[in-house]
Amino acid sequence: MTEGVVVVGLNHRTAPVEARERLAVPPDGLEDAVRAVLALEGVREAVVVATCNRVELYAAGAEAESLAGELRRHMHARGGSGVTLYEHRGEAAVQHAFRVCASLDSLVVGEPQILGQVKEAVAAARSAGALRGRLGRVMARAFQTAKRVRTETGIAEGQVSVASVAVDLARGIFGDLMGRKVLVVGAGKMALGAARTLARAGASLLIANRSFDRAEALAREYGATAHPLTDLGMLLQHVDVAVCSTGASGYLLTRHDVATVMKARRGRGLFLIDIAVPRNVEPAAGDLDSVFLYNVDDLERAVAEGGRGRSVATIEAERVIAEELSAFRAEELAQRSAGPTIVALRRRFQEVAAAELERSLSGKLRHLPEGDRAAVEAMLDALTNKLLHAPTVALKTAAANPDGDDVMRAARSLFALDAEPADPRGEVTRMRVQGEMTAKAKAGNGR
Amino acid sequence: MLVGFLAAAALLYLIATVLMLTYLVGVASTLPSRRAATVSLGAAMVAHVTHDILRWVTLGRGPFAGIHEGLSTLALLVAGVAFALRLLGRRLETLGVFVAPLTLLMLLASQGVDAQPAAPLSGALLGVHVGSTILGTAAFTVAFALAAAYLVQEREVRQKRLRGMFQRLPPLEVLDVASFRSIALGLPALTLGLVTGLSAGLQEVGRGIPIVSWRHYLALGVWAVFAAVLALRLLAGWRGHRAAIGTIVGYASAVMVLVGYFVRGARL
Repeated sequence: MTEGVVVVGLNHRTAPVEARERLAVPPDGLEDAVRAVLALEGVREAVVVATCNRVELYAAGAEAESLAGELRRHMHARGGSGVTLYEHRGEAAVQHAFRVCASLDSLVVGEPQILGQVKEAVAAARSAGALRGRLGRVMARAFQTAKRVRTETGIAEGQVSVASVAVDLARGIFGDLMGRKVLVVGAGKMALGAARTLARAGASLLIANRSFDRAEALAREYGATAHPLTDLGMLLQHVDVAVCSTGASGYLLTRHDVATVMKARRGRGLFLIDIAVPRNVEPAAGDLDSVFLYNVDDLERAVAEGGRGRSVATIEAERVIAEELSAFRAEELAQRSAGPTIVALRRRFQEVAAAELERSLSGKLRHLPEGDRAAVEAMLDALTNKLLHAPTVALKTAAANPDGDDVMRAARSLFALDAEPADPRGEVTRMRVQGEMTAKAKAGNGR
Repeated sequence: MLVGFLAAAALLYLIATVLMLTYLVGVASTLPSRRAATVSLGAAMVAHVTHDILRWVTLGRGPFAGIHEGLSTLALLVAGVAFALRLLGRRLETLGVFVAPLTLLMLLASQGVDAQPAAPLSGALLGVHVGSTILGTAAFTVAFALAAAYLVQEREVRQKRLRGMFQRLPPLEVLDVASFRSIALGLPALTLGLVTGLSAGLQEVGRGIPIVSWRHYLALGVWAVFAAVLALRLLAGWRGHRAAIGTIVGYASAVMVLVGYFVRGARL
């Protein structure tokens, strides 16, 4: 059932921030983005995940090959044909979704924001009517996997966030952070996380935001002072570190702006962390004397260089993902392989019941009035359903296990499901055989 | 025997320099190699002090007796600063790399100078001249080491390399501020040294003996560069990179004076 699932995208490892910012989707534009993907040929379901580190299109449809082609064309049309994209199909796509949600594919392995971001993407897809079943199940399972990874492995504890890299850097530039001033521009979660860590190291916080109300709310939460974004130039003259994460589409700070600020600072060092995509600070500003500018890619490299991205926890997390993937695969298979047997069994019961009812009503029970006939029919229906309940559940469970085939064969043999159908039209057998064939073909493709 | 101690001191300074360098660039970053560097530096200082004391006892020439002794004392003072830094903290000990080779250079330079005072100074005035010049130069040496370390550390931060030297060198602002303070301490001392030296020189000129040499001009140049760095820092907000470059240029001139002593002695 996962063979029609495809993901095409780019992330912090495969594309520089220049490419990612061209494809960036603002949070309130997610639904429109999903609708645009849904309008592509062959796409039945779609989810658009867009964070500062990745832009990914997940889609489900009938045919993976053409689906992937459509998604690629769509992304190239928006981000330019030079953009390098990766692509995963079928089970690989599902595994990718699991790894992304579990934060194993993140810039900072173990960071908790990505799960929330994918959940928002899924919510947007749902409200755009872009989740009908398959992709929805994949995402639900991915969330479940992420939760397991978080609780069963030490990935969150060993988390070296962008925050701690920022603190290392700030210490390398300023030494002691006690009494230093850190300005957070915008209200990105990652930026606030970094700022909070800097504050723990003794720095005091200032928050500037386009919406002053939001700045005030955050300032109360973080024990900071709130400022309107219009004061940015003045604020930058007095702080030591500025973390930018606004959703501005152009540069919030040009080289010229920063040069003006530096003049007023009389050369005092300024550490600018730009974790926004698209970027908030013009890259050339980093060439100025005593200005140290780091963007998301630089932080990624710093984390990777620190060798802190990998640990025992990530190995454990990969194991959890492999387990969940195999369980998911089994469930999906079960849904396929047990389905025809259950349908056949149900039909066999219903046929027998119908035949017996017919015989009795036209024979010994011929005298029954209309109302009583209906009552007898209802009783037989209930009986059939009750009797079928346990074997149905058992078949579904068995299908997910390795020895499921034996149980399935036993069921078919016990109830003579492989025998010539009582129904002269042969519908049951035909359905089952067809079902099995498709199941096998699909299982073959999926591997 | 004097030569033996001197050679031992020079060799040990060299070994200490190499060991410290291997730690800074990350070739050898183990605790034993770092301890070996500290021990070499300490042993070099012991040999150096022994040499100077023996010279004092046997030849009667104290630490401020002339340019020869003064340079040797300067070398010892600078080595002492490097040694103290090693004991102060892990991130400070790397500064020794920038200081130890200069110690060696000063020691060698002292050997190029005649034992007789070159300047027509004597008594207390000679002591003040040599002593304050030594203090000023030692402070500039430290300022230079800090500025050099600043440029290396700045390059690490700009190239976004947060392993290796970034972690072994002190923070940028600490280097910047400490370099500034060293210059602020060194400049008045060197000023005093220059004034005493030049006044004596000018008296000689007055008597018709022009002994103002290229070294004196260079020394004035060194003073001017450091004074400019200090002034620009205070008045024009020169910090970080530019201040470090200024400090290094100033010190390079000072090193040329030392090299001059070594090559040509205290003559004109």
